[in-house]
Amino acid sequence: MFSSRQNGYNLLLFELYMEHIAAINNLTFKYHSYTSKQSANIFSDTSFLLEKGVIQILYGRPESGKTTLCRLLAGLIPMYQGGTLSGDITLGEIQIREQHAFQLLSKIGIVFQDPEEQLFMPVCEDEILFPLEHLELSHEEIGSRLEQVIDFYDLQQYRTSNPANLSGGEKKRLLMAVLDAVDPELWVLDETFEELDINWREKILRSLKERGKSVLILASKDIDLYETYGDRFGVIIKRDSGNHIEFSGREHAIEVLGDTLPSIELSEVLYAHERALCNMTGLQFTYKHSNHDFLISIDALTLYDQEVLALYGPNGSGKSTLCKILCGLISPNEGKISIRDGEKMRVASENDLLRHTGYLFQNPDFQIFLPTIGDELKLGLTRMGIQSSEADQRIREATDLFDLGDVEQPPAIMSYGKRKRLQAAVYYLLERKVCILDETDSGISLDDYAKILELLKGRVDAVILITHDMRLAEACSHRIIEMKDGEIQKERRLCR
Amino acid sequence: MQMTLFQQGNSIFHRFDPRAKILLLLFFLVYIFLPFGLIVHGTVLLLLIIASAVSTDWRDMFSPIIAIWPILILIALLTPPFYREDPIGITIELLLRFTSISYLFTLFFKTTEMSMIILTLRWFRLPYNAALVITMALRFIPYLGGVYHQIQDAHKLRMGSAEKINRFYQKIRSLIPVLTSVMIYAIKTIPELSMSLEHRGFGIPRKTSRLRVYKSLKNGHKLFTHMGISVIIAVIFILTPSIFN
Repeated sequence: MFSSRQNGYNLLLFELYMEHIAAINNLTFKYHSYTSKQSANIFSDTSFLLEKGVIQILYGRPESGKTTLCRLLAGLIPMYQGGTLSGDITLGEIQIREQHAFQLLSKIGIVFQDPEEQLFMPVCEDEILFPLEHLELSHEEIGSRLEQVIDFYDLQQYRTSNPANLSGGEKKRLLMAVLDAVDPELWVLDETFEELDINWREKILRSLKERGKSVLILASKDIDLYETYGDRFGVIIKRDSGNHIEFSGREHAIEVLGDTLPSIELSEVLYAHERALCNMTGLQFTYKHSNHDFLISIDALTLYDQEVLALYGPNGSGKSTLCKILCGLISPNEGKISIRDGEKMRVASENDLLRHTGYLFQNPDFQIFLPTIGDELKLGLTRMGIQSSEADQRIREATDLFDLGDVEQPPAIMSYGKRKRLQAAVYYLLERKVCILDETDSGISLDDYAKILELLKGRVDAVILITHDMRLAEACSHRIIEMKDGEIQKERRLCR
Repeated sequence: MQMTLFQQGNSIFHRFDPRAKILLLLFFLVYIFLPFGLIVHGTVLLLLIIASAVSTDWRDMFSPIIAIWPILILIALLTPPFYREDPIGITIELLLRFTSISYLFTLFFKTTEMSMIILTLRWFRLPYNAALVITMALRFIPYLGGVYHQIQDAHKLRMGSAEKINRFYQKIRSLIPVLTSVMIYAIKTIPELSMSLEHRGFGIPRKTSRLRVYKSLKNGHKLFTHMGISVIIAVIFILTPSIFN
């Protein structure tokens, strides 16, 4: 921990030995308050340098200001989201706060945490072309860069597809392609690797490393590849007076982050017919995925009582679609789903499945729509016919367990991690038999994820989790099912 | 989420040059508003329904009518009291016109890729900012439609059932929470979209390069033929009313 004077001294020393691309000096920032309470500083008097030609990983727990930092670096805040900023952010000779974001196009590029916020063109190819057309490049150069990134990020089949139709990981790949085509001096990646599968993580990180790019990766949890490809490691240290950033090595960063693989207590599962909770047979479903038809085909899959089942597979392998079939949001073209009804299994209707299975969407914003936390939590309870006083008590319990704070808070201005916790709290109160967590681990810390999983596991009969993190799947589940191209490729029971 | 009206296909409408197609669209828009009488408007609608059936899945033939039926009912109920002379004839004509416009746009969007529409607008030298606004509208209107369905799904999951609502006012009432959520989502999108646009270079005062205008749509022979066909179609339709009169 350094005082601002010490920080200045360290920066001076650092500048003597290292070539840096950006310098952040005595940064203090807070958002405007939307309630009667005074808003707290997100950062207070923090200083650090970003080195040139290296991959820098900056860890930070959820709500520590990672996204705010990215947007401050790109000159998007306070311009678009308000707030009070003091201190300097300089990129070479340029003072960021004196620039419009468009003037920084070739200097700094970001991939936002939520791809929905960043994609705006009707076809993928135009998404890549948009910034290139603003760079005063020759047509040959634009064409050449377009082809290069389309090829590298394997987007050939999606060239004329609507970006909104892509899966979460494919959207991230498209955004990386946009950034790569522009090739700014500093790349800022806000939790970009979380929704990408392992092959893409490695391919992109290796390429960035080999090309000697200046990269800042913001991460709320550690993945193996960061150790291999990261050159500098820092952490956002939470403080009441405002958060602080230190680049003090990987070990220190991981220690401060305090984020280790969760140890989840899993009950014993009896893989016997009489313990089956849900049974899918002969499922077939075809849908238009971008420009081609995509077929989900599941011969047989059974979910057992007390089981935590992990679905693992590359982006666009059909994991989310399978789960939407399972919870009654999509009707399969063929096949049936049976659920346990007392001693017997019976074929489930769409309404049966909706009442049987809860589903936490990948993007919490599609599932949170009421003005306050309290309203969100109360909706389902009112529907279940629970008395107001009883409902209030349950809401208090859920807000405490999921650490949601004031029930009067509007979810719209809460952090991504907190919105995910609220999403989980809603299903905690709804008492479903099965709960599906669709990449709930992205954008939140491992211990937060473990907490959500523990709480939901104690409430429902079985959990299905979708993840791109094999270590997490191995640590948290009884069985892992690997999917590819809409089919089950491999099934593995873990010894518990 | 499937968020575009465009349907892959190989019909004549799919293969027709979008530049000629957009001119035909404008011609028919004007044509539908001209006072040609019930027979002509009825014939135009019938032709559009047939075109719709042969261009994409015939089972979607009546989807434009299904989408606008509440408005058609309102037109049918509210128009007659305002006219003393031939209220029924005027109402039918309005219904035919309104339905024809819906079919016309549906046919256009179902058979033309969004990227081609934008290229076409740029080819017609539409100012960059105007083309961008149309691009955004083409991207975000269906996108918000997709968000509507996602939020509807979230409501269904939360409520634990997909209710069958038969009464009209109940249907309207059930729409309110979903529409409110979509509106909140749309409003939240505004600053994010502005950020994203500016971050990708929008606002730079210099002229932008337009790669795709130069790269695509160069097939002059096809354009000439299709423009010619469009003119013939337009002439036939202009002359036809005089046969009926």
